[in-house]
Amino acid sequence: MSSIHEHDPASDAELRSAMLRAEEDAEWTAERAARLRQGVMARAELPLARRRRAVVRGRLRTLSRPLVPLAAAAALAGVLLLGPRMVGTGHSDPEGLHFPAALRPAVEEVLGTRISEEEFRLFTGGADAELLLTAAVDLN
Amino acid sequence: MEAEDRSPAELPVPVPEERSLVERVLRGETEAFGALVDSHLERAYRVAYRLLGHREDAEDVVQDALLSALEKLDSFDLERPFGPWLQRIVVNRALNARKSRSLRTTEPLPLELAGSGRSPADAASDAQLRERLRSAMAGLSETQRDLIRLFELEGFAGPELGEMFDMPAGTVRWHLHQARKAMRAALAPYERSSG
Repeated sequence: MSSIHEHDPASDAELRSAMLRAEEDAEWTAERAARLRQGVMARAELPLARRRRAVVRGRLRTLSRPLVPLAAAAALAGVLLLGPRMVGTGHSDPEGLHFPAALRPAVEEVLGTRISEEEFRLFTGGADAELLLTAAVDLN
Repeated sequence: MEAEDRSPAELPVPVPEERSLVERVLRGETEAFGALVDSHLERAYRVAYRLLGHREDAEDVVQDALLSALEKLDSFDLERPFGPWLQRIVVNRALNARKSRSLRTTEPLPLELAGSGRSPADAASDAQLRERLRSAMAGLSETQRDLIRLFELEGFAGPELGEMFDMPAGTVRWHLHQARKAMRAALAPYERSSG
């Protein structure tokens, strides 16, 4: 009994031979292989193309990330919505920054805006960019 | 008795080249997918055929299984070998097909074909053997029939079968033991009369 539980039984050559004589062969031929491969590859074209497209999109997202500085977007959002209270106040407590719920959609839209570094500087002025960034991240 | 040595078989380890192929397929490389298909197509077909007993149905199942594997590839663990993972999909597809599809009846190989080039006595002997084995097979559970076919006819090892059928290797061995005992008993009178 122990052999049943510990090891594979060895193949039984006589039984195998008898089964081979009694059972039909799978008939793996070059023709079948070619036909099957062709069918699989034809059907795989679309899923493979989807994978390639996803890879390209992923790369584009990665490449475009530095062009959309989150700090800039956050700063823009912050300055637009809280600027008058923030700039020059020396506010340094991110916990203290709360976006009114009604303004959330607008803020979120601004967060998706692409701006240049020049625009970023223009908008942030003397505000604490790090603080604005933290607030924006919290908002997200 | 001549016995093929198939002592404690371990599950195949991941082949580095295969892992790299899978990674390339994940990126959508057609050539890499073609290479994976080439590596596993025949085994997949043989498994499907042994479970379905029909060549065209086996082809359909293999195509579906390979496409399904491609779709699910993100969930494949790159630390594991690809073969058993794929074969498990093939087995599941084949078992589902067997259950749900009204499969075309397996046409038994005509005796004159099976015995081509053999004497009438040999052909009759083959027919007798076939009948005995069919009868013995009919007495086995479906799982035991599947396992004994894949083990004896296609050379799959116990751990591989366990992976493919989602059962512990010990359970596979128990089923194989039971199946072989029944088959042996069915063959015994034939062996006495022909030997």
